[in-house]
Amino acid sequence: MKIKIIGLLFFAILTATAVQGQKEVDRFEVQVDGLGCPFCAYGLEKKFKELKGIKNVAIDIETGDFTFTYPSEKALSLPDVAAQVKKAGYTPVTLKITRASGAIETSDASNETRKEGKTK
Amino acid sequence: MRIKFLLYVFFIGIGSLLYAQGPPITADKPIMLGGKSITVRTLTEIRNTERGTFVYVPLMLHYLPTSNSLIAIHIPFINYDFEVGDSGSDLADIQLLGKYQFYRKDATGKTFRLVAKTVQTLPTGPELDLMGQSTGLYQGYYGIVAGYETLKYGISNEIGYNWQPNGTLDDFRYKLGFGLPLLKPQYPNNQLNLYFEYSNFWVFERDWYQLLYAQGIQYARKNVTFDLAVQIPIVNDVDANRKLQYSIFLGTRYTF
Repeated sequence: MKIKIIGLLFFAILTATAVQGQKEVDRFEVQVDGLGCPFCAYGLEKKFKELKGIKNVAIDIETGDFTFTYPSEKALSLPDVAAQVKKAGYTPVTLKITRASGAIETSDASNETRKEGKTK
Repeated sequence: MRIKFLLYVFFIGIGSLLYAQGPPITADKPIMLGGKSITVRTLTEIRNTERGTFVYVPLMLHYLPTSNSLIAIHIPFINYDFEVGDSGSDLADIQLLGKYQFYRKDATGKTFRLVAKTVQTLPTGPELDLMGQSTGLYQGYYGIVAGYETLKYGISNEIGYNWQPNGTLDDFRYKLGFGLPLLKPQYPNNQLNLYFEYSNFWVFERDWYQLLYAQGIQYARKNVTFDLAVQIPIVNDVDANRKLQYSIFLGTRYTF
């Protein structure tokens, strides 16, 4: 019995540590114009890799769909993302952020930002 | 001669509209890969002419301060072996390069860009009278690079004027590069491309005209490329003992 209790406690501590280690992330979806070659997409990814903590980077060069996740605590905004795309030398068309809280923010090429609130 | 030059430019320009793709090997491109990036590149040329054989090995360092500007230094070394005369190795003419992209029109999977370009060639090499390699004389080149790139085809054009105030190698030049991707476009990139590149040089002070054709192949993966091209003359109106027989280009580039 004692061994079982110790084992359960150990498991509970491990689980708690793992949950604490999982940071909340925001999911970003950007439609990028100007990716005329696969080598161009490298320039885009490289520019965003400057943002410490960026993960799950994916680029579909045929559609220009660029997605990644970023820690929520850093509160990366739509204008920040648009500026970073421009710094890479490309044109952001539509941007969407799904915050860890469930809130969705979008903007289009005219830079009109819209907050839709929680969808969950 | 001028009419012939313009006719070639027109003919090749029309021909290029059929299809093209990718960054060229012997020509230039208007696309820049993001601000604050550095590219190290080399493109060794083994040039075989009636006058001799010349191996030109440049080390090129490119830096992009912003997404639409580039500064670079090319430090070349040359090995020369004249049929009649000297042979040896030396530092060739160092080049300082500047590019500024002043127009960009993007769409999904395609882009059109215009870039102003200058190359300042410093007289650091021996006076070998080798165009683009070592003249030992100052030269200033001013040109425009235009490129239209899509995932299926693309065109790279460059037109410009090279000024050599203390020599007779002033020339008008027009370069055109286009190619064909052999693999489906994907990212992370894993590309194998064929290139078809034309270079025109009209050295009017010497009444020379050359139209050169380069057939190239390039392997690109992530941030590195490997290039190979063979260049031959189509029109070779230069002095009888100066004619180009062929050039071989071997290159690689790494961006970080």
